[in-house]
Amino acid sequence: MIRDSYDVIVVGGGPGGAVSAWFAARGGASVLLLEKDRDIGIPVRCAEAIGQGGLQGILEPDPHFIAHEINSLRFIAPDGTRIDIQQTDEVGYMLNRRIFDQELGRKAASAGAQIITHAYVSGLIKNSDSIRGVKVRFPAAEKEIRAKIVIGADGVESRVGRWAGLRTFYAPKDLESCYQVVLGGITVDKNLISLYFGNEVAPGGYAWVFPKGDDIANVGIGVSAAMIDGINAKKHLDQFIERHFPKASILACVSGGVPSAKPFKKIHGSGIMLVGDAAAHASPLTGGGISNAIAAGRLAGEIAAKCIADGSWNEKDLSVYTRMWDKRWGDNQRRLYRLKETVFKLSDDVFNKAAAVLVSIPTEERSIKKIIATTLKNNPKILLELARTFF
Amino acid sequence: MSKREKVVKGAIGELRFISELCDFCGCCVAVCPVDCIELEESRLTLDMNSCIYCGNCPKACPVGALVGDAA
Repeated sequence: MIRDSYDVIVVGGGPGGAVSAWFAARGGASVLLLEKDRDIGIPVRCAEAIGQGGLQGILEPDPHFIAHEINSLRFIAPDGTRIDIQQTDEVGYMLNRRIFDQELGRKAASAGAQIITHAYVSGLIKNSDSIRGVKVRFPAAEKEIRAKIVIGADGVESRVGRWAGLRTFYAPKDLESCYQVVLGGITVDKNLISLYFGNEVAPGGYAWVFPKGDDIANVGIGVSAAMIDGINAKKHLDQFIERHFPKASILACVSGGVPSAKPFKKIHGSGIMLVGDAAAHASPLTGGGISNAIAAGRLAGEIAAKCIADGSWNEKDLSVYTRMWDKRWGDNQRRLYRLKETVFKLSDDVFNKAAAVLVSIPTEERSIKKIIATTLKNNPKILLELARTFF
Repeated sequence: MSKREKVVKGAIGELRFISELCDFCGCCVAVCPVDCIELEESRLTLDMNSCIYCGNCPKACPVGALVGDAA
């Protein structure tokens, strides 16, 4: 039974939304989570990799939703040079997002949040200066539901922030336009993820092969929306598959946008907070966004519960969210953004030269740090370009 | 929005939506500066009265479902 009002309404049932709902409910607030699709976790618009640290304090790693561990990375330069890195210190996981998202939804529900799918939020209820709830379209009905705080976790296509008067849309250069397939009938090393670079392969982005087993992988491509010139992401991926996996079968396909933007100046307002891709929380360099959305969701959920308990949730009360988010993650996001601006503007020639130097480092000595150090030492042009990213 | 990449009104002359190609991913919604695109589960609605023909959404569409024709 849906009530007419809640303390907190969360819009969107991805990881950011589910964790927001979970921690708001755990802190004692009455919570409603609304998901526009029929199912939590479907469709999977994600390459499904997460760093080990991303689960900490949230879920114990469980084979139920983890396909397997990732322990190596391979970068492929435009000329085909392969640079392999064995990750010894930080392990990553390949997730089964359908199950993972359901698991987070289950946690939110167990904490007391009410979850409703097939519920499209079509607008906000506002009074002069604050948000008072949401307008929802169900398959056979429309309803206005009041809330003290609305948390917008409605993804890269977020409109909740805009309706609340926050500036949240993405410039084409800050959006990676992506297309991904699940490829079967292939042979891959399941613990190794591969990233392909080059202006032919993926202008302003990269192509990825993220195995989900020895004979199956998420294979996708992201291209900068500002650099698409008649060849969209799907066409780029078709070419990539034709070249690298000509005999593979396509078991599933999906398109989607990944933010690669600087942090938004403000991700809160009176009675509103934004979480995850709705707030540009994904890494501007890699596009990875699950752990960032989870971390921000937890922060937003805890702040929401505290404000409800304290009896005040105006613009000033919720400003702590933007402030704390920026204090914890803002500088890193801005650094990654500068790095992205540099890396994706490198010419194929510079990329190839750097790769040639890097393969000369013995495999066992390769680490991200060492690679950066060697690149700097041997290639002053990259040094100059990378140096700019840090200042 | 950076200074180098201004939204240009009328950068394209016509906007065509080829619904058969649409995957309902929301890239177009993300880059629309005037919020004139609505995406429900499997329904995309364009409000052509608000559209300023800036050409952002054809750039962002991964599958070519939105096409901008020359101004």
